[in-house]
Amino acid sequence: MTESTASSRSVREKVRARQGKRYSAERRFRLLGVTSIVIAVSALLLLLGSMIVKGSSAFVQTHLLLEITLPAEELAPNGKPDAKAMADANYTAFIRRALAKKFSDVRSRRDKRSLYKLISEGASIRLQKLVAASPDMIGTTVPFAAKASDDVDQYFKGKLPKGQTGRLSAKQTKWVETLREAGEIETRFNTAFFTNGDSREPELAGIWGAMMGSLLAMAVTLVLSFPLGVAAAIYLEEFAPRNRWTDLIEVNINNLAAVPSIVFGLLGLAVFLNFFGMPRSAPLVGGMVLALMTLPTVIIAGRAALGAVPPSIREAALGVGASPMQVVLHHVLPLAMPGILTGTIIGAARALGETAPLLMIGMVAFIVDIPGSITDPATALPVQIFLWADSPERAFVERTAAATLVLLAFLIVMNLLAVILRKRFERRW
Amino acid sequence: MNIQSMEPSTVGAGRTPTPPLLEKNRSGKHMDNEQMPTKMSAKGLDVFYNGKQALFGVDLDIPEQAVTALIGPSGCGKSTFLRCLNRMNDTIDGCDVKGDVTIDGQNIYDRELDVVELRARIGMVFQKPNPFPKSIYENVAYGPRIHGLSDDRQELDEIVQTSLDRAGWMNLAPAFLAASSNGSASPALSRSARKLS
Repeated sequence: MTESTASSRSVREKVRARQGKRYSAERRFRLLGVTSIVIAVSALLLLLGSMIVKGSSAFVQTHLLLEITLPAEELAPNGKPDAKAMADANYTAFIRRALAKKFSDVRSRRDKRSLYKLISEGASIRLQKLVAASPDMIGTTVPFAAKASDDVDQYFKGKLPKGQTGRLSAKQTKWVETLREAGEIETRFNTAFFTNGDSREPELAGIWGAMMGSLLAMAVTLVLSFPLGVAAAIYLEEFAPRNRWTDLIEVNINNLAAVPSIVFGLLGLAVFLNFFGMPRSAPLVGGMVLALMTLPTVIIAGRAALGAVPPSIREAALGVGASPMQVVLHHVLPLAMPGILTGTIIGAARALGETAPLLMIGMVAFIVDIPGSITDPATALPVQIFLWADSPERAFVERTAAATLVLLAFLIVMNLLAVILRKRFERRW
Repeated sequence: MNIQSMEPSTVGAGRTPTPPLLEKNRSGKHMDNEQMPTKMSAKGLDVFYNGKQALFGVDLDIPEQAVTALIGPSGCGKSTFLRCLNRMNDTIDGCDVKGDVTIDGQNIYDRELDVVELRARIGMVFQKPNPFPKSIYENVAYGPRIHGLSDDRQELDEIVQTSLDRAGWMNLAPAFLAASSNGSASPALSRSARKLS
């Protein structure tokens, strides 16, 4: 025992001598981890921050507060509100009259035209809808917030560089300042951004058309890729024999997941549009192309999830006399569901943000109408962002950033959904 | 492998081969080993795992109404042999079974034989506990349900209760049967049982 005490003391000394280095190595490793996280989060915050700074102003829109007289003789010629008269009336003139009354010192025709340019073209349509909704306003003077043109909007929000007035003339700037002092120009929530389709006028442009296109394409993608992907994963993992052919299939599927997305777009163009003659720019075709892109992701995630189910569960089920299909459906698949769902949602989130394949199949056109079905021409949100980024009007800069924020919000929601679903379906035993 | 037929009450006691004991069957009559009919038998059983042979020409008759124990060092092929009896080795890739295994004279490795039906007949209890991640009731009721023994809830309840009684979980049965009908966990369940649900 005495020899071992002496040797054990030297062992203890050696261990203690080394401990210092080991702890500092530990600290360095931890620091490395924390640093990487800090860098990644900073990059993310930088991206988000710049988008928020650029785009938050797009959620409000400048309006001029006017008092509009709705003449009864034009809208209700027989004493009663007449639908045809209401539809045909010149609402633009009503707005212009109200504006001219406010600036009674403006006389010349040129100046008046310049004054009228302060108002957006869409204001008259809104006035018409307002009158149609409450015809009892006819014959009275009503307060009305007329949407300002995008030049006024950008100037008023302070988006123009210092000292510049953009496309506004000196007189127009003066008028806007007069209104500002009188408190008759203000910013309101930009509902048009969420309810309108695309437009050449920035103040009337909205993302709803693009959102509907994206949602419809997403629906088609999920309906196609989820059942096919899960079924393929089940077959490959549970039933297929292990031979050279199945190895080849596995290699090919893994490669498909890495193919650049524009190649899928070219495939869609050549096969779906040219060969099968499907409607161009339709969410149906967009969805099919995106489904092809998502399929490998679903299959790979599905196989991983199925493979992670312990073989003891399968054996227990087989031992009781379950058929292979019953083993998979009753036992393996429910346990693999969290992993499969996570993979599917991540794949779908990626497809939501893809632009290149959609460009190839034509979902890049300027489409104003909101798509009603999967065969109507439509555009998608990432494509909309791409188009607006190219537009010359300054007002589209903030709208591009705002649309990016909406897209990011959607992606965050989808990923949150993946996490929640995984937690909910996870079974512990 | 050391093979002995033993009386149920002396399971685990075999070390040296004892002279043939008088067997008692369930009705209490004394019978000789040799008089018990053979339920299952293996003849010339060879098992290969990816070409490597694990069982070498096993010949064994397993008599009816008796407990047969296989004793041997780890890795000698006990589990392999057992798994041959209900064709669980079919699920293992690269496992090759040659020879005959019969039950009641019928070859179970016949191509025409329904494996699912065979496994309904020949049950298996595993070395490590592997319950399904469901409630106890569902675990016990799964087998009868998929084989169509009963679709009626009450009949299933009876089957489950009987099975648990036989397994010695009598004190558990009423507690969780009540739970299964109203869905709430009973505090009478033991911790291990709670884990299973």
